[in-house]
Amino acid sequence: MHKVIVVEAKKCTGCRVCELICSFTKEKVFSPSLSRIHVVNIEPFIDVALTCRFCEDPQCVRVCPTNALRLDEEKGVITVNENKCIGCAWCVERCDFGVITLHPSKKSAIMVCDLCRDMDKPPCVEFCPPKALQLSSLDAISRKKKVEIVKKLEAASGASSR
Amino acid sequence: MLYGYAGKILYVNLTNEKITTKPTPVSLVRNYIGGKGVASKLLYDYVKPGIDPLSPDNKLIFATGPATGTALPNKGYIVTFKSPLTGIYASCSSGGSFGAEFKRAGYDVLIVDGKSEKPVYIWIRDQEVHIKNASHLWGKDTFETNEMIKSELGDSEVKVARIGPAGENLVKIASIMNDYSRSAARCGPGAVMGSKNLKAIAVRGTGNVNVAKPDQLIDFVKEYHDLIKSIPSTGVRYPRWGTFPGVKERNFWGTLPTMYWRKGIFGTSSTLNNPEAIRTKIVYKDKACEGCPVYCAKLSVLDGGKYAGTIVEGPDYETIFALGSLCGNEDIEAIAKANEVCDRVGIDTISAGNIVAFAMDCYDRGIINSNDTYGMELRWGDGDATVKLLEKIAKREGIGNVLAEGVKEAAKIIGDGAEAYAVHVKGLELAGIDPRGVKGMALSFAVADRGGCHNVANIYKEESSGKLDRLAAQGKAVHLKALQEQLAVADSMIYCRFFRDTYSWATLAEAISLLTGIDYTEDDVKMVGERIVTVTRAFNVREGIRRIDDTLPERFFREPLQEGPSKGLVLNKDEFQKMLDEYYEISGWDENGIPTEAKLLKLGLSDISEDIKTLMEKGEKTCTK
Repeated sequence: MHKVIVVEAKKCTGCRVCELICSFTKEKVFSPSLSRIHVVNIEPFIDVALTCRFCEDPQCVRVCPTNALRLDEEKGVITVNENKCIGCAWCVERCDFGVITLHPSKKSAIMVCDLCRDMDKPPCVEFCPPKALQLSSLDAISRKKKVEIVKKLEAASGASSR
Repeated sequence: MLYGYAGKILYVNLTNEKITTKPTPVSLVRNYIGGKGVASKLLYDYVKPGIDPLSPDNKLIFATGPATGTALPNKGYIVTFKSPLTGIYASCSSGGSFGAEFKRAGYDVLIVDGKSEKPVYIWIRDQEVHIKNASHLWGKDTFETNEMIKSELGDSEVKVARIGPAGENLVKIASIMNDYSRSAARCGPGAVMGSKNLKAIAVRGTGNVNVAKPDQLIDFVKEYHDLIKSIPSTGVRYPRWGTFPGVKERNFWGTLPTMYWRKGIFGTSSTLNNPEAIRTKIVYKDKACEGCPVYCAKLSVLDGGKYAGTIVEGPDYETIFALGSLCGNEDIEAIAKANEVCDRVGIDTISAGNIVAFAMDCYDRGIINSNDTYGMELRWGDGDATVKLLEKIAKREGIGNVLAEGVKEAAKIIGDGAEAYAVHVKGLELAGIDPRGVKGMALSFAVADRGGCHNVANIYKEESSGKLDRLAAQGKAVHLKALQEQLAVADSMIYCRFFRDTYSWATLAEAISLLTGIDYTEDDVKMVGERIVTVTRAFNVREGIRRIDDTLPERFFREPLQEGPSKGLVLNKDEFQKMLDEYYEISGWDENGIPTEAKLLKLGLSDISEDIKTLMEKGEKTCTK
């Protein structure tokens, strides 16, 4: 099932704990440059953590000249074959979300979120102090949205009829 | 490899534009951990006694700690310098991302020395360090400067520590701002930057922070997060209301400094006294420093009213007291606006509020009048006058030029008895709790290394929660000493005050060991704490500080609080001196407050012991104060 990490922007405090925990999980060091989740801070109002959207038709996979990138349909994540990757960064260029990055020290590897599928829960989600990050399936998201919008409409029509 | 540290000290001399690095000495971090400890020892070693704080001889020493840049809750950086406001030791800490970014660039410490001929800023991009022209930035406020530097460097991830017009104009209470709105503010670090023609330090660090025992550390971090969530202060109070509840808490005990230290209670039926009401009225969202799960910072936005358009990270309790109750102003929106102005021009809100309130007090008493203020009325509670005066202070315009010197000097210049009303310790304006109603805090303010600071040892927390009898003098010295030392270690990690309910000597020792791989026992860490407190004291002794300086404003011994639950309370001189005696004795300092040779040697400070011996042999005449 297609799952993504959802961020509730107004709850995000910009603490970057997700980035620190991610780089630690993947590389055993603390370094936002090595994180697969990226906090965007636009002062003073905006803090948002972004990560791979696991597009149904991922452009990064399409443009990869060496077929190093692959959409793992079963796990719903992008996988990288480091032996094939030449570090050309076409995928970086092509990703509309800017969430694929080149590994700063390995010359032939890109970094992209894999939802830490081998763990119970992505540590970034688990550690997020204000619980701004959630791992959600698209079904759950759209269900939640539907309820929210109907409630909003209800409230609006209720208010106007009174 | 040195774990928990970047391993390098960066030295920038602005006079000859020489940029050098050297390895971080293992012995230095072993004995002082990092942050405040390291930066204080380096300050002692690099700054000669008696120098003019605004001369090229002064240094700004920025230091991070082993926790900086990790996922362990931490605070960014500490900066030490000789204060232009007080003429003695000063250290300030600040959160945000600046400290972590600097450490990721590959450095533990930055020492800024000398003075540039023209305005410049330092640009650190990992191992590349440049001194760049800042003529076009001179005169810009802190927010403009931040945006302009990020934009010209073409990277929004750059973190900028910068000064505003106040720092450029050598206003003695000028701050350094970093990230959007975090500041190292007390004691005038911004003026020291201004005196060096240094407008900003911009940093981009893309490296890693390594720790010695990663697997154990991550479990420790997880437990720490759970602990933080489980206790009321860090789990509920700070995340929900930041420091707003400070008002209500002080009002409860009658220790909320009001109308320039006349009363201890204020605005009990106003928004100020209701943390949830402040949140509802002005807070837009919660913010956190990098790596911190507590999100105590509140980004406030004023949508309507007189001050519509105000955006400020704050106001926190200390700002609410200083620019609110101390000035007799209960309008939270006016306080938020004043806070924004302080951040914009780059001045310390605590000192700024004290100075405005002092001017209002002098005006009220007829010591100054509208001739002195160039026609400006300075009435209690006037938010517009406050904003105007803050801007004048930053520009050193009219009476602002006098007030820009800080309360102590301004009172001298104003004369006509103003000095008797000026509230400061060693030249530093007091923070937000009236020591007449909390005896341990009286001692804490009196002996704090940077003067009238509440944070060197915030014993008032225990005194305001009933853990300690607030009116007892007995036992306070012992408690205070241990707290000072523990917080000195915390400031070296660097840990923030706001989760101090979670520190213990044992967990401090454990954290340092996991981060650095150097085994620290509880006793080792305690000794580091004592060593740091002693080094800062030695710095001050070398500058001429003696027992006579370890005191509080005379008013607090003479003038009882006028209203509220602490009405009638006043400090007793004999009782205070007894606390001081006890504090010196347990610290291993002589009756004049000078660390003894035995104590210095026990702490491994033989170099300092020699200096003090020489100083004593030369006699007190050579002292600079």
